[in-house]
Amino acid sequence: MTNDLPLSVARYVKTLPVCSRAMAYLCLDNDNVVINRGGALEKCGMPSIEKGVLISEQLPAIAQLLPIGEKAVVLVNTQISTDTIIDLHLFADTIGQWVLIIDNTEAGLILQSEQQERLCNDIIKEKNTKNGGAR
Amino acid sequence: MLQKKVCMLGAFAVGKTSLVRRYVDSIFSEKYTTTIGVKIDKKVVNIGEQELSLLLWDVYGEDNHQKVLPAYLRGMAGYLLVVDPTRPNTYKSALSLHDLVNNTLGPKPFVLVLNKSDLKDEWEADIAELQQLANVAVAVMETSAKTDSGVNEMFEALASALLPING
Ligand SMILES: Nc1nc2c(ncn2[C@@H]2O[C@H](COP(=O)(O)OP(=O)(O)OP(=O)(O)O)[C@@H](O)[C@H]2O)c(=O)[nH]1
Ligand SMILES: [Mg+2]
Repeated sequence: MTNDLPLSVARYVKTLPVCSRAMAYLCLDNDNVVINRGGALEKCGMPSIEKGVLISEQLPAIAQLLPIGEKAVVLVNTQISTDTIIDLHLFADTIGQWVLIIDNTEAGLILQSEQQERLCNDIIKEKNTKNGGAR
Repeated sequence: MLQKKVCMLGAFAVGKTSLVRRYVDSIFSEKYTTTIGVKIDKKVVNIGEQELSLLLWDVYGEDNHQKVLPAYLRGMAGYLLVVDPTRPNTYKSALSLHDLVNNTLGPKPFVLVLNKSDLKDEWEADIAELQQLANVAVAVMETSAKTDSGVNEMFEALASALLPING
């Protein structure tokens, strides 16, 4: 997806952490029909997105977020009926409504383990306070 | 078919994911696997003659370190506000999430869900603290994802409130 960029820029972009992650995009018209799609759709857990079909018939979860206003919408660590963890960035310009999908499975699984440990500790603490308080 | 986005909101470990798993896949696990971000599922529900496709957004729980981000609520038609009465701390999150919805989207229909009814002898929190929420909820339901008690009824109560008038 960096083909159109000057080599220097493309090289620089490649060093950004985000670029080691698989990316895909959808472009929707104002009636929410998919008019274009590309990138690593399969890796991002959405292999069967078709052009010319309403997004509500393909990814109803995304349809509920439309229309996109002037401000971009970002939803991190989203799972849509798959185990793939993606970040969704939605923004609109004169061409259409764009949905950028960035795979975050690797980092997401680490975050999940960290959160798991933290919350299990919190539950133990809560129980101890409760038992202590009852005595 | 009519599609509606519904969020599961509540403190961590109250049973949001378990309620969705029970409703969508008819399964329950004692093992706690916390949710990061959001996991989205779909289920078609029939209310009388009408069919409604519920898009269930199982959002991560609020805890001492992270609040729920308003972006996840975008496009939400209604929500299930879940508490665990064995853990009085979970009431505070319910109140703050209710405020978050009102401040972000304005009032939306919700069902107040008292989960883990199979542990009723351990319920210790003062339900009166929830009166304020109960007064504005479309329903207050007791559920158990473990024993499958009240789960379908809870989703159907919300779905009915989301149908167009005269539904
Ligand atoms: N006894 C009993 N346990 C339950 C019930 N529902 C959930 N649990 C247990 O409570 C724990 C937390 O359940 P989850 O469904 O993961 O809770 P959650 O609200 O999704 O948690 P987060 O994703 O971290 O916010 C798990 O160990 C479940 O087995 C219930 O109805 N009865
Ligand atoms: Mg969960």
